[in-house]
Amino acid sequence: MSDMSVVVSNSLFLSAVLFTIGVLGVMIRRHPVIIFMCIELMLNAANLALVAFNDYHYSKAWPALDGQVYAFMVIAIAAAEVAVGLAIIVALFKRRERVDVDEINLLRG
Amino acid sequence: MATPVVIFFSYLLVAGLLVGVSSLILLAIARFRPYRRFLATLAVLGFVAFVWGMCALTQPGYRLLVCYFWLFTAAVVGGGVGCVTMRNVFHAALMLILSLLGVAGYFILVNAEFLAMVQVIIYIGGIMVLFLFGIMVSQNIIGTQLKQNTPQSPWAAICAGVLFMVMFFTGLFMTLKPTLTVTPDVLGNNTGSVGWSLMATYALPFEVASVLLLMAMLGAIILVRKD
Amino acid sequence: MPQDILLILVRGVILVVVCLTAFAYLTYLERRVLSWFQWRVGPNRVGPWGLFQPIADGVKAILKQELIPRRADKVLYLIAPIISFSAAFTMFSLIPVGERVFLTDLPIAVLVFLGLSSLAAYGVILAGWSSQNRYSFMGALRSIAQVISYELGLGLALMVPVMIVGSLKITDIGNIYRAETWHPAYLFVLLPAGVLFLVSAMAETARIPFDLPECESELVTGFHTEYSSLKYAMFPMGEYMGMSAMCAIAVHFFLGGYLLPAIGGVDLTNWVGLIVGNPDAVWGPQEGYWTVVSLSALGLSTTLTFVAKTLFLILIFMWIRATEPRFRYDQLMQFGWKVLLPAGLVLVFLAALFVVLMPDLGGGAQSTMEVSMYVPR
Repeated sequence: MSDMSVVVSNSLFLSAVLFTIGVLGVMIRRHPVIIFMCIELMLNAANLALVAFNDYHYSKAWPALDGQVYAFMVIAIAAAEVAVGLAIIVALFKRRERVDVDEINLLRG
Repeated sequence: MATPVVIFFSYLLVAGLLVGVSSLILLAIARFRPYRRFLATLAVLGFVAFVWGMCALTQPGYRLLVCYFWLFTAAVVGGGVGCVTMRNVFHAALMLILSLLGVAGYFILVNAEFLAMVQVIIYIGGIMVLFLFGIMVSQNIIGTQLKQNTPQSPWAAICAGVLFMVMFFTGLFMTLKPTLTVTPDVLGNNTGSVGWSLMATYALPFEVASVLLLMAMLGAIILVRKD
Repeated sequence: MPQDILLILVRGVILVVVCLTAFAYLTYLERRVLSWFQWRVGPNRVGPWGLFQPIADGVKAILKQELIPRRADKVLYLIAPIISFSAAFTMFSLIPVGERVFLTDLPIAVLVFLGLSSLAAYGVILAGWSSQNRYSFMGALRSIAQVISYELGLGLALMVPVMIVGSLKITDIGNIYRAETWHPAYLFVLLPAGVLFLVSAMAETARIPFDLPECESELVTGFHTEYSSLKYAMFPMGEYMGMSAMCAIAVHFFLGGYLLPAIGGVDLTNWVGLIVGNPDAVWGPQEGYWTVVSLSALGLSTTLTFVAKTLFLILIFMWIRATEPRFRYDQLMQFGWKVLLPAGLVLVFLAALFVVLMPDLGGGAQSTMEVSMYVPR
């Protein structure tokens, strides 16, 4: 077993830990920006697993980088999500002083 | 093979997991602040011990790559925990950046250095800067200290624990045998290969992603425009 | 292995020492050049022609009292100058300075460079936020918007030579300027890209027509208002180093790197090498002692060329600083998004056309496709 396979085989657990942290954050925090950041954490956990598996399954018979391409797509989607989400949050802040996701229960501000 | 080292690390693994999970559950209930801090530290230490035990059990030799793996793991997990626990939004964002940097370093370890640089340029240099901008624009100059726990946090802790257990045991029982016959020497060619497969196999998703980004840009402009 | 590490360490130390000295004398040079432009004398008291002025300035900066604002966020306040300083220095480790004289020659150097230039912005953001001062805060906000806007122009301008060459390695890109691979048609895309790069670089490093984050008439000194002593000195240090790194990259990408010009089919790089003792350029590779001598001579002459070209670009930056008035903030944003970004996109399009229409030119683009490991299923 080489050093490389240590890194790859443990990545699944690292990814699980990171994903759990993200889930926990989304559930216990109230500030919309922090909830947003926890979603980013979860996306990154997925990316970690994707790239690690790509490296793990890489071989002469299957020399493709599909996992990295998926991770690339995830990053693009995260960028789109942040643009819209931050716009929503900034618009919310313009309407009210304090923002708490528990208090945002109307579709119109 | 029950050598003392293996026994020690299995003990570390189990104990770390127990300490981590139990202090997380206590953390969800506790109210007194110094006590909460102590519990949080304990949880982090427990999970670090757990991951350490895992890694040591799978590979007893420590070499440079493994050291880097440790460093990045610490950054990723520490940053993530910090992002969830920090009371100041700005600090939470900085901890998230630490975590993202760790992920970028990890990408370099698994031969995805193009993706690592994309992570640094787009995620850290673009998305997170936007986050900080949003926080700075929308908050007081000092940044408010936030209340952390919602009434649902015990349930949240339990749910997250169950989720983690599911993922953990899935990973444990998956037969991840080292089938790594070729070490991919993509270094130096990784960028070309990724670009080639983006433009050949994944040309359509690539274009869809660009349309998605355009839509997001328009949506953001419409949302914040002055009525 | 230990020898390698030692070698890297020694090279790193040399790099840092050279960069620090260069920074000190760049400040001196800038003051002298500015005073010359403005019909003044400039620093001329300390030492002959004021040559010891930077040393005196450094000693003064170190001996000043350090003040940390009481309300500052201490950790971030202390980290901020370190970030902006070390990001700029790390940029220099990417850049080859002469033929076979380099610290690293990464295969993804261009991306690392862009990443570092966006990380450098964090120094400014953290400084502005952690000082808890309105002026610093405004400076940081302006800096964020400016860096995000002008990074696009910077990246697009760099992509033009990258697309033509088909490599992200700095030496590969410098190699298209060799007499064997050069073609005059390159000029049509590389020249406008070079201008675009220089303008964006000026904005990215917040040099004077674009120094809105620290303009003293509106924001005291912007994001580093609350800094004092050596911590204050680290910001200009990072700024100058960033500017020099940008100029060095521009030399590699648009001015032929460390090569001397080839006039009328005569490659001066080889001839200078011959004069100062580079036999293998003319008589083929030599053995033993001669290899060392010729390599070091070649390295020295190319390094001197490179430094001269970089200084030339830095002088242009100073010239612009001396003559141009500062932008207004809305003008800055409009210029970035409505002029530089479309120009960059058009240039990238032209470069793509260039690569498609003249496939036999582009240096490494073909080889990248050949060795690509991707096999469609």
